[in-house]
Amino acid sequence: MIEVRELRKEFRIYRHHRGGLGALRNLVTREYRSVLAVDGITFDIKAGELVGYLGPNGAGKSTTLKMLTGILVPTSGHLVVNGRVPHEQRKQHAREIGAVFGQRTTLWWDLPVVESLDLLRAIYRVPADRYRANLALFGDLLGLGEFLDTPVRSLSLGQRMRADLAAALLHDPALLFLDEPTIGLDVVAKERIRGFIKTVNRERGTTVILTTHDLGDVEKLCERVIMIDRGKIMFDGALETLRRRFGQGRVLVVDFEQLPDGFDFPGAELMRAEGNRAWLRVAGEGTALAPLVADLFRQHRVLDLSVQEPEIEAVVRRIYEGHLLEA
Amino acid sequence: MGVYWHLAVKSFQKHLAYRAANLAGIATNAFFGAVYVIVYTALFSGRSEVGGLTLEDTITYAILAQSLLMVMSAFGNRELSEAIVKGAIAVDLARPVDFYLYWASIDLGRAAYYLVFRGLPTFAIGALLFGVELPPSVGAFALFLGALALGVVVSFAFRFITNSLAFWTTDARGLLYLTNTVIMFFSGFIVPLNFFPPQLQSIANALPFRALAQLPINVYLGKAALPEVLPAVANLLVWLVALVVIGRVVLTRMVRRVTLAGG
Ligand SMILES: Nc1ncnc2c1ncn2[C@@H]1O[C@H](COP(=O)(O)OP(=O)(O)OP(=O)(O)O)[C@@H](O)[C@H]1O
Ligand SMILES: [Mg+2]
Repeated sequence: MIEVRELRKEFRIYRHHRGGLGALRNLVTREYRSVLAVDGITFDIKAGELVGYLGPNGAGKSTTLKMLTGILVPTSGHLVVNGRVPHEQRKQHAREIGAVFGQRTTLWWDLPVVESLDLLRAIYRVPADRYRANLALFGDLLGLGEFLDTPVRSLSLGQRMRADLAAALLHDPALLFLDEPTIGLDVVAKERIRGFIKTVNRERGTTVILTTHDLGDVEKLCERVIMIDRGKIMFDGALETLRRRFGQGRVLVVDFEQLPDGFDFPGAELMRAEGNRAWLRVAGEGTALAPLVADLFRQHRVLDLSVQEPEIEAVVRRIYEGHLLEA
Repeated sequence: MGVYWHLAVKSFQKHLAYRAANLAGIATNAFFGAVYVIVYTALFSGRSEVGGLTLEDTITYAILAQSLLMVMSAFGNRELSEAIVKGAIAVDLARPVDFYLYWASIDLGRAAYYLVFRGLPTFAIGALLFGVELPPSVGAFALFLGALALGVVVSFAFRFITNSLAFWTTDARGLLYLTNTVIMFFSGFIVPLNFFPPQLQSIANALPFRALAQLPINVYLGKAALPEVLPAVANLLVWLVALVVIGRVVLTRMVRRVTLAGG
């Protein structure tokens, strides 16, 4: 469905001289510096996948998405989406994809939501029955009903995002590109949007790529994660692999009757202790917990015990901070 | 084609939301109409005709001009340049439409709105206060409507180009002020071109801007019947084609730049 090979995008930032003379200089001289926003990325995405595209600020996520949607021309590399080179057949491509850029709305600011949707129906030539069916479905899933008649400019952020999502899917696109669809939303709105994305992906087989800084989105939605930093892909694989490879292991939280002094436990390392509670890191992926726990019980009086999986949040933070990748 | 019709209708509807602003606009247009009428009445003082216009013609001219100001977007239309500056155009690029027609439809919807909700009320107020002449014939009125349509399209084609310059220079506003002044002057919105000295009139006649006011109003007044109008229309059509071609070239370059350099 999506085929990306050695894709690069270089932006040139021209030096801008101010004032009247400066304007002349701007015309004559072309001094610039380059920013490599996307630096040779390669991946494939199959139909029906739901992929999280992660990376710190300025990593090149939006730039990649803009190339995939055809609104940016790559500097070099090979890019085929849905059988087309997006920027070469931008209009045709636009008919077959949906896109939401969370930072900006694609709806008409002054029009009520329903009018905006109606306009999109005309633009995308959505058949009347499809339009009605979609509107009913999205109305249900996204709760559009309560603000269909509100002008887009008066919508709350969460409502606007829901409207934008509906708008992006009105024409039954095979592919959906979401650039930070949950940015700035409250917990409830996020849940609703996540549920919607999941439903669309599952039930319609819509291929979804989504960028986000909210790892809750990733955990709830994505089986596969592509992580990019400074324009380069740092990781591409299952979320579980990411967690395992970069997580610092699981943590046992143990409440002892009496915190043992001098702690020596093969396979577990004491992270910290507070009162009679201790946090033990279980190093390595391979270590089986059961024998370890059995030993614990044998040697000490344990009142309570729980296991914490490495949090994706922490995992990603560590990667962003470059602790592991440099090595 | 359905898309563009839809866009025009939605654009029309969109303006319906700004009722208070429009009322204030009507008051302003009517006020300036009244000022013109008072000044012209004083200036004519006893003269029966100036530049082929009687006082009654001139009063009608002034009121019609005020009624058409917004229809023709004589002060420019910020929507396009703002869309460009804000980079909204990049989002628009993700839509399967022809952007020239897209913006043209939006502008036509806008013009239609201003014709109905600004032009008509302003004209009605002027007619009530000062009395206006009616077109000499149904034919003249039909021709007037045609001339209005031509004016709206010429105005769009020209403004599309100038507004697009906002894309290349951050100081486009100065340029827009300048072009708006030129448009106001040579369209006949400020003073009827009939009053211009001959040399200035021939310059005005060579430019496309008289399509915005001078031509439709003179057609309305019956000062320009079909035979005289035809060469003017031919001239304006040539202009229109040129402006559309230039506008499309500018748009192509704009799209190329957005897709290369980002929004
Ligand atoms: N139009 C542009 N002109 C010049 N540089 C740009 C342009 N767009 C993006 N960049 C630069 O390219 C790099 C990648 O930007 P991009 O917007 O793709 O990042 P991102 O991963 O989406 O970040 P964020 O999480 O903050 O949205 C940044 O350094 C940015 O400054
Ligand atoms: Mg971004």
